[in-house]
Amino acid sequence: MKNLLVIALLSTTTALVGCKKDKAPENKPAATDPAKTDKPADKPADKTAEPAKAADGAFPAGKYDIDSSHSVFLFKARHFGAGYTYGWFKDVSGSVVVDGDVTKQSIDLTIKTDSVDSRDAKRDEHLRSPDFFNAAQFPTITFKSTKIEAGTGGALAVTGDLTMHGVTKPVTAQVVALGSGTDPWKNVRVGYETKLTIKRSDFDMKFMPDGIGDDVELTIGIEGAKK
Amino acid sequence: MPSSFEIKMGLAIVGYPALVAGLGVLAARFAKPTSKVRQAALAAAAAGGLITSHVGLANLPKFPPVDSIGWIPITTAIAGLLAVILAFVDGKRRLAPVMAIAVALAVYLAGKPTFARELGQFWPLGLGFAAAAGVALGGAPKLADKTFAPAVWIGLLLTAAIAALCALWAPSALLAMLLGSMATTAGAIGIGGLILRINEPAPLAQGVFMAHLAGTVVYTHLYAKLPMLPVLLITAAVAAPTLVALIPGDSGKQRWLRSGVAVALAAALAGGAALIMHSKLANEKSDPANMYGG
Repeated sequence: MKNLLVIALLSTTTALVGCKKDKAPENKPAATDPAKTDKPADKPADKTAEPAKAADGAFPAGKYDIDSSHSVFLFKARHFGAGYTYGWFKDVSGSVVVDGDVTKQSIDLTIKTDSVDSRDAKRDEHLRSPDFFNAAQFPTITFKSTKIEAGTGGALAVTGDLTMHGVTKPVTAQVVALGSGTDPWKNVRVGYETKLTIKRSDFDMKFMPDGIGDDVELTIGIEGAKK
Repeated sequence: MPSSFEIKMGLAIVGYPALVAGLGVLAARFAKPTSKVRQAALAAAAAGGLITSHVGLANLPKFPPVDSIGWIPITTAIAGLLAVILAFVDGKRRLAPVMAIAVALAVYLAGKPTFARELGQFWPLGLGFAAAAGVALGGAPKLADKTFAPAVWIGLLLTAAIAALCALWAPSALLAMLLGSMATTAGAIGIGGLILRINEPAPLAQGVFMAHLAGTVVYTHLYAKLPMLPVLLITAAVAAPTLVALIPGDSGKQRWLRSGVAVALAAALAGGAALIMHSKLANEKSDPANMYGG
C-alpha cells in the first residue's frame, strides 16, 4: 500500500504539481551548425578523427553491417531542473557504406524504441508509453543519410532524415570517423561517433516541457563490421 | 504560490473544460425543458468540454494525425456534430444505434495503427464499447424515469476519474490527465445540471462522452498497456447504471436510492479495474527516493 501511495503521489506530483522551470545548460551542441558541434571529448577519439582516410585505405571501402553490441544510441535530458536522465537504446542495427568518394558514403540506422534502457524498469515502461516514445505505435527510430561531405575539423558532415515518433526531420551531424581495424575473426571493423542536440518538440514529443525540457542530447556511436 | 506550469495544467484539466461545458449547460438551462435545443446544447457542452481538455493537454492534432491520439478529439467533434443533428431531426429511435456507431468509429480511429494491421483486435473492443453505449443510451429514458438524471453523469465522472488512476498506474501520466480531465466535463454537466435543475436524460451528450471515453481507454489499452480486464470493467461501468431501470417502483424516496445504486454500480465496476491495477503494484519494493517507486 505504501508503494502504491508513493507511486501515485509521486507520479501525480510529476504530472500535475511538481514541475519547476527547467534551466537548460548553456553548452548546447547545435547539430545544424558545424561550428558549434561537439567533438568527442576523449583524446583517443580526437587522435583518430581523420575521416579523409576513408578514401585512402584506412577505412576499406564496402558495406558494413552495424554491430549492435558495439553501437549505442544514448540520450540525455533534463529532469525537473535538477539533474539529467540518461538512457540508451540497446537495439541498434543498420549499415554503413564506405567509399573512396566521401559523397558516395551512406549511413542507415534503425533503433528499436522498445529496447530503451534507463536502468529503471518502471521508468523504461514510462519511456515506452505515449508520454514519450510510444513504442507500441512507433516501434523504430530511423536515420537515413541523404548527403555526406567533408565537415569541420576532419569530421564528416552527415545530413539525413531522422524519423522518430512518426515525424521525419532533416538533421546534420558532424561525425567523427574513429578508426578501423580487424578483429580475430577477420572481420574488418569501422567506428564512428557523433553528438548532437535535438528538440523533442520537433518530433511531436511535447509531454511535460517544463519538467523535462525540450532539448535532448544524443550520442551515437556505431561500429560496423564486414567479412 | 502555484507555478506557471501548475496553473497551466490546472486550467487544462479543470478550468477551461469546466468553463466550456458549463456554458453549454447554462445554455441548456435557458432552453425549453425536453426541447431539441436543450438536447443539442447538452451534447455541445459535452463535446466542447472534452475537446477543450484534450487539446489543452495533448495539443491540437494535425490532420490526419501522426499519432492516433489525435483522432480522439476529431471523433469527439464528429460525434458532437452527429448528436446536434440527431437532436433536431427527432432521431429518438436512431439515437442509440447512430451513437453506438460513433463510439465504434472512435475506438477504431484511436487504435488505427494497430487495427489496420490486425483487425481482429478491433472487434472485441469496438463491439464491446458500442454495445455498452447502445445499452446505456437505449435505456436512458427508462433510467431517467426512475433516477435523477444527473446520477448518470456522476457515474461517468467516477468512471473517468478511476480510469485515470488505472492509466497512471499503467503508467502514463498524459493519459491519466486526459481521462481525469473528462471527469471535469462529466461533473460540469452532472453537478451543473443538478444545481440548475436540469432533470432530464441527455442521451446524446452521453453518447458523445462515451465516444471520447472509449477512444481514450482503448488508446490506453493499446499503447500504454492497460490490461484487457480493466478495459472490460470500465466498459461495463458505462452501461451498468442502466440495470437500475429494471428495479420496480418509482416513488420519490426510492428515486434517491436508485440514483445512489446507479452511481455505486458504475463506481464499483470501475473500482474493480483500479484494484486490478493496484494489485500489480502491491508486491513491488519501495524506494522513497525513486519517483518510480524502486
